[in-house]
Parts: sequence; structure tokens; C-alpha cells
Amino acid sequence: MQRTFITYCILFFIPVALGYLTVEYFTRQIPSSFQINKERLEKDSDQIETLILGSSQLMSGINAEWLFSPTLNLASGNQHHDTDFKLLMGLLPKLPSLKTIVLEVSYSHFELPHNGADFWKNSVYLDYYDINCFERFTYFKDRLIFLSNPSFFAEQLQEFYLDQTMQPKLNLFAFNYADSYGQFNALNYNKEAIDQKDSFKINLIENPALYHTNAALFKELIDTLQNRQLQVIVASPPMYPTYLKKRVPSILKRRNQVLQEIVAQYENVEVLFEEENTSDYELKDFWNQSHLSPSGAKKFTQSLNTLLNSR
Amino acid sequence: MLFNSFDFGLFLIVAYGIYWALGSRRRIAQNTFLLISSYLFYAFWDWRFLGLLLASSLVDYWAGTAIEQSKVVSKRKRILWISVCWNLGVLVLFKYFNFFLDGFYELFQLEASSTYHFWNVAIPLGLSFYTFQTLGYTIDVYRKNIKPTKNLLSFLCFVSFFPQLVAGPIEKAKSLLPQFDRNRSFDLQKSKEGLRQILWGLFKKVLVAEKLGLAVNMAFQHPEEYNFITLSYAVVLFCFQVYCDFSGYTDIAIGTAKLFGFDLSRNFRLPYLSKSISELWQRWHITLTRWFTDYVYQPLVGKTKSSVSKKAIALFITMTLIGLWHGARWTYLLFGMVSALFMIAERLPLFKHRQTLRKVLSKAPRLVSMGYVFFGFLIMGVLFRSENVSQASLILKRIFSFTMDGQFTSLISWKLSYLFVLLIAELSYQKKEYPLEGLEFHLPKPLRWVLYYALIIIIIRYAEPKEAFIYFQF
Repeated sequence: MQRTFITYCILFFIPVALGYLTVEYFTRQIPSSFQINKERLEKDSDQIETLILGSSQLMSGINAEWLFSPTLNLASGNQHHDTDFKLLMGLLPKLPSLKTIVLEVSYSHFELPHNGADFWKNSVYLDYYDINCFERFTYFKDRLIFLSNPSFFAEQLQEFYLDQTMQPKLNLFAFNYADSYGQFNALNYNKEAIDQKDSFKINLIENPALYHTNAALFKELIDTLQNRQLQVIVASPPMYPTYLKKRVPSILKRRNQVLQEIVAQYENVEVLFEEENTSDYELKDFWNQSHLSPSGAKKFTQSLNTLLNSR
Repeated sequence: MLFNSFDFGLFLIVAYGIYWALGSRRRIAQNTFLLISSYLFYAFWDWRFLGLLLASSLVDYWAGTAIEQSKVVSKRKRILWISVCWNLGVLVLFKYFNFFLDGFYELFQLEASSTYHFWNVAIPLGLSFYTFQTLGYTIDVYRKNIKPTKNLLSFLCFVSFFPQLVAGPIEKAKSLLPQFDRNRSFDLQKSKEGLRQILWGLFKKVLVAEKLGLAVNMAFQHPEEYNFITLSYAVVLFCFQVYCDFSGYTDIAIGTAKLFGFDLSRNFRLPYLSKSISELWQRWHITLTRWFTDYVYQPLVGKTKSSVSKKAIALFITMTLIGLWHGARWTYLLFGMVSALFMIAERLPLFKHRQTLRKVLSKAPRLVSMGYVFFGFLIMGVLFRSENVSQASLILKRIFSFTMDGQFTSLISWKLSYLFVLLIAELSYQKKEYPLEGLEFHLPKPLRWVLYYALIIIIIRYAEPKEAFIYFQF
């Protein structure tokens, strides 16, 4: 009876396992910046001089193709400073020529929770970059990409293979120069409609306790980089005017205080503060209220290039 | 190790395989293995608190034995108090210390220094559940409701049994402890039911609770942006979210226990069908309500016929403690108090022929009584979900002042339709513990397998990155 039950269970779960493996295979075939970065890490790791970390704002805001210095952009959506720190510690031994690290400090970076050890992208970092951000022993399951965020990857599979609405155009530097994304594109870049749109993603909740923790970790990160004689550029990419207006003054004040402190305290730090630059960036330079489009990224990358070359 | 994770699936397969491979007649070997598995399961969260789990078990094992051996009433009472002080002391120390300290500072308007939160430690997982279970055992021995066990291994298993260790059901020693002392043989039907109940629990947690959670979080993060209709709707969704989250967890726990040959208590009986708040508490987290009724409410009321006012005071204290049991937050305390006020109001003879509201509601059309329960749950739900009192008062103010200022959004996407699937399934099979129970008597095997595959595919397809069960924090 027991044997029959176990046999039936095995027979039942074989198709489930096979189905999963198929889904995992197709997930890995979707072009991704992680795959390109992995290949670059394998081929050019000894040449990389600049490393970019941060969230989607720097991922969409910097196209390393336009930088003179050989650069690897590892910024990724929702990636916070704690993950940046772990990635950095894992990558430093692999990047012997590294001179400069670009970190992101957006408006509410210090009042948003860190990713922690359970961040779903930890599987991606482990599998593609071979960096363990889980802070624990890992096993084969931790490398399964689809399983790390089934809902997200199921949508990607549908959009890429079935609907064919997601067709990323990634260059050799893992920058996506397809300009068909974003809320502004969906609104046909109609300025009036965009300016009237009041609901978009912005943090309005103050969290002074979290601010202290996050700011302390950020300073620890810079301390580590200073001890290793690495230069740091703290970047804050441009935001669309409606986003700028909606920012909470006290969150902004605390963030600016950290920026002032690190510039005064550390010799190896420079700040590229373009957040409030509304004169050089046009409507078409944005994907949405807080992310640059490829044309905006070109301008912001040029600013970064100027700063890198001036050092 | 969350129940809805791959890790737990793997753990379960290995544990299940070894457990039955040991043979159904080797009870001691099976119990030893269960104990090791349970401690391993707990250590996955935080191995540092294993010592506390063991200490709690040993204290109550000793207390039970010592109470039994002593014939002097005062000594028995003294031992009982040692157990009570130990269990509640641990609970207060880990869970409520900073809360009381905050209250003390606020009460005496002392200036708080940044270092006064010196007890800066995480709350051990499942603490509120296993301390109540062990404490219940000692009280039952003291009351001579049960004989203390002489088998330490069985007792350690009773406290740490992994399916119900971190979030219940809170079992009575009378029902669970003897199961460790009996030989357990493989039961095909029970195993099938176990797997089906796990599947149903996963459906509730992954497809309903987590999707509802996305909508609810949106409204609770920025309540000032939404009008009263949206906020009321979000609170109703939250009620279903907590129900699906916790009852989903319970289904997985009960299903897992069945795989190992154990029966755990039912914790939910379609609470949304309640006709009063009192009935709601008899259908919601049944084992917790039962614990507080047996060990707090009954002693407060006493054995003799009590006056209405005495019962009301006892009820108020009990419900306030139930509120506080959920966590060291003013909102939980208020949640308990508001529940108590509703329940007291329902017991007062306010209507014709000294009828109580509860009686009137039980005779009223279901729509009326359910409307009343949802009104009560609207207030209680806001208190339960809000981070602090000011957030709760903002939401309640917007709801009850019918604020139209703010966005209207139904917060709905087609994914929420799983809630309706759940409701239809549960309402259609009300007599069953869960809708998939005894499915082989209704559907032929090929159709059953199609249904199982469909559920598994949907669960995997729509799973979000792992989120802990809401009741794990308690």
C-alpha cells in the first residue's frame, strides 16, 4: 500500500518536474542584461575600470557604450545598497583594474528597506555572477531562475514568446536601447496627459529609523572603498518635474544631509547630482517620471563621462 | 523554511521517506526522528532559539511530573506558578519588554535615550504558540484533566512537532500527546487527504492571500490618497487576506501532520458566514479562542453562576489579552478591546423580551447579520492591519466620514477572481473540512489528476517571491 502510494506520487510528479525544467530552459533563453554581464565578466574582467551599481534608475540611465573608461553596469531594478555591497565584495577580487565605483543615491534611497538575504534576485546573482548574496549555504535550488520569482518570469515568458511585446535590444554593455517602454510612451509623449498624471511610483512615507541604518551602511560601504583606494562617484540621475514636485521635503532634507556629509568627509567621493536638472532633459528623455529613456541616458552618460575624465 | 517554499517541499519528502522507512512498529525511532526533524526545521529559522524551545519543554515536563507527585495543594499551586511565570516571563521578555518599557517612558514622560531599548533581540519564531501549548499542558495536569506523561521524548515531540510548531493550531495535550504514544501505521487514505489538504492550503496562500495582499498593501501604504469606498473595500479584502493566509497555513500544517499519521485540530470554520462577532470568534482561530476560554475566561468567571457584569469584565479582559497576544502594538490591544465591546453588546438584553443582539442576529436574514459582522470586522480589520494608531485613526476617519476626496480604484485585477473561486468551492462543500476532501468519491482518477495539475500549474505560475505567513510574526 505504501509502495503503491509512493509510486503514484513519483509518477504524478515526473511531468511536474519535466514541465518545470522546460520553463526554466525557456526563461534562460530570454535575452537579459545578466547574461551579457556574465559574458563580459568572463571575457573582460581584467580590463574593467569602472563599475556601476544601483537600481533601475542607473540601469536605464547609463549606457556604458558611451564611456571612455571600460565599464560594467551591474545596476538592476530594486537593487539596494546592501546588495551593492555584497556584489562589490564578491567582485573586487575578480576586477584587478577597477578604479571607480558609481553608486546611486536617489531621493528616498535611505528610507526604503534594504533587499535583505531573501531578495529574489539573489538567485540571479548566484547563477550569473557566482556571488552568494543569500548570506547562507546555497544548493541547486538557489540557482533556479524561474523559481526565484515565478510570477515575474511567467509574465516575461508570455511577453517575449507569446505576445512578443517585450523585445529587448541589448547592446554589448547590457544597455537596453529599445525605446518602446514606459508610461510616457504609452501616453504617446503627450505632455499635458503626463503632467496631469498624479499616480506614479514614489515613496512618500518617512522612515527616520531606517534612514539611520541605511545611511550608516552606505558610509560603511564608502569606508571600505576608501580603504581599498577606490574612487567613488555618487550619482543621482534626472527626474521628471512632476516627480520632483511630489518629493517629501523632510526625506529630501535627510538625503541631502548625507550627500553633504560624505563629500565633506571622504576625499575619494564626488557627487554627480543631476536629479533636479530640468533644463537639459526633455520629455522624450524619460521613460517615466523617474527613469531615463535611451536619449536621456545618452545625456546623463555624457555627464558621467566628463566627470570620469576630469579625475 | 516557509511552507510554500521549495525548501520545505524537499524537507518534507526526505522526512516523510525516512519516517515511514523506519517502520510503523518502531514508535521510539519514529518519535526520535520526528524530534530531530522538528528541531532541524526550527533551526532553519534561527538555531539560537532552540535552547529556549528545549528549556520551555523541560520546565513544563518537570512541572507536570512534580504537580502529579505532590499531594499538598499549596505545593502543587507553587509549581504551577513556576510554570506560569516561566512561560509568561519568556513571552514578556522577548515579545513585550520594549512595548512595556515604551509605555512606562510615555506614562511618566521620561526622556528616552537612544540606548534604552537594550533588549534588542528578534522574537523567537512560534514563541506565542508553543509557550501556550506547554502552559496549557501544565494547567491541565494541575486541574487533573489529564495525567502527566512519563515519556520525555513524547513530550518534547508534543511541544516541537514541526507542522504546528511555528503557527499552530495550538493543540491541547489531551488530543495531541497520546498520538505520540501510539503506534502509527501507514494509512493510504490519510496520506492522500494530507496531500490534497496541502494543495488546497497552497492555493489559499499563494493564489488568494498573496494576490489580495498586493491590493491591500497599496491602499494601506497611502491611505490619504484613497476615498472611503476604496479604503472600505481594501479592508474587506484584508479580512479575506488574513483568513486565506492563516487558514491556508493551517491546511498545510494539518495536511503535513496527516502524512505522518497525526490529526490536528480544525482552526477555521468558514468565519465569513458568522452571524455575530461572538460567533466569528468561534469560527476563527478556534484553538486560540478555546485556549483563552479554558485558561483565562473560565477562571475569571468562576464555576458558579456569575452576574452579567462579571461576565462582561471577564470577556473584556480575555479579548484584550487575545488582542495583545497578536503582538506588542497598541493597535492589537485596541483590536482586542473593540472585539470585546462588540461581544459584550451582543450579550446584553437590549431587545424585546430581554432578547440579546446575538439572538436577534441569529434569527435575522443572513444578509443583515453578515452586514453587521462585516461592519464590525471593518473596524477590527483596520486596527489589526494598521502599523500604528495614527494610521488606523486616519483610515477609520476617512471611512466613517465618507471622504470622497481621493482616488477611487477598485484595486481589482482578474487575479483577484481566485477569491471567488475559493468562496464558491468552500460554500459548495461547507460540510467538508476543505473542498478537496474525499475527492475520489466525486471524481474519477483522470479528472482528479487534471484538477491537481491545473492547481499546481496555476500556483507555480502566479507565485510571488516568498512572503512569510502573517501569523508567523505572532
